[in-house]
Amino acid sequence: MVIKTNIAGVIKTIDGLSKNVNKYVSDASGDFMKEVLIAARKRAPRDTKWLSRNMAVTKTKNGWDLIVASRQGFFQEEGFKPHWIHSDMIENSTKLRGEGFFFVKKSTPFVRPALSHSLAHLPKILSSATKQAIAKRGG
Amino acid sequence: MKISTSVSKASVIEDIWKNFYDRIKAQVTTTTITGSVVVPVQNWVSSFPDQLIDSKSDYPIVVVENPKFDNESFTMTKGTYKGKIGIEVYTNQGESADKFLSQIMEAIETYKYQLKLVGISMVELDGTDSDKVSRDKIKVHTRRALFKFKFNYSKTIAY
Repeated sequence: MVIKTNIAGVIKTIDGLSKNVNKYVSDASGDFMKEVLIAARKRAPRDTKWLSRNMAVTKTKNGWDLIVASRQGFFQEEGFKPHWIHSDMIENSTKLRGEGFFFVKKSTPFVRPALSHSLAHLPKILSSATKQAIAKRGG
Repeated sequence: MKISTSVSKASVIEDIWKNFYDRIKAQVTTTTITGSVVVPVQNWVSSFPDQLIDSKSDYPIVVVENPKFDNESFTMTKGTYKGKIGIEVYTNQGESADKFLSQIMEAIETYKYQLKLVGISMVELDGTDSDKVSRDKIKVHTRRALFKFKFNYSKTIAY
């Protein structure tokens, strides 16, 4: 009996596998970040509609970023002291209407709760991506 | 009522989406919760309902998301799009959310044969998810079902 081992072929397969895994895991990370985005939009305070609307997920060189392009985003996430704001500072509110000053009592964090909700799904997303990468490579 | 749309390679995304959307719209319309309260679906949409989420009267909302695709070879002349499509429901009661999710799963499960006839095969539930968010006076319960499917097409041969 002769057993032939094609070492070059094995190395080629393993080499291709790592590239495949990178690609699939990167795509899966994008899906995960989009899931976080939707969860954050559900939780975003509506004192200003722009906060919810100005969130986006973009692909960068090193991975994926969730961008909150609204000045209120940081303060809602990290907290603030109760304060008065003028209606001029409110963009397109669904709750605060009319001219004048409004008292803002508490912040509503929305990104961290969204991340903590979505993290439960990350192992399944990554495992599925890895399986796909191996299957595609003929594993 | 004819609710199957033939699927062509040139418009595969919108055709597949329409098949799922039409089926859900036809079959997931109303549910009854404790106290004989009838809860009819108010809106069917295709993406996150940013405009509707603030008004209690706009709930329940059913979201049929756009399908996502991955490509692989099937035979020498045919390829396969492996796709996933999410269907989500937003309601104000946990009970109705669960019942709508069951209806969504049943609507797709019993429709597999008709989907196969237009080329959408191997339709299976890939997973479900639930979430609950308090938004001022509105409590939002969401349930999501993710379905996977395959669609075979003739490849363009290029040498």
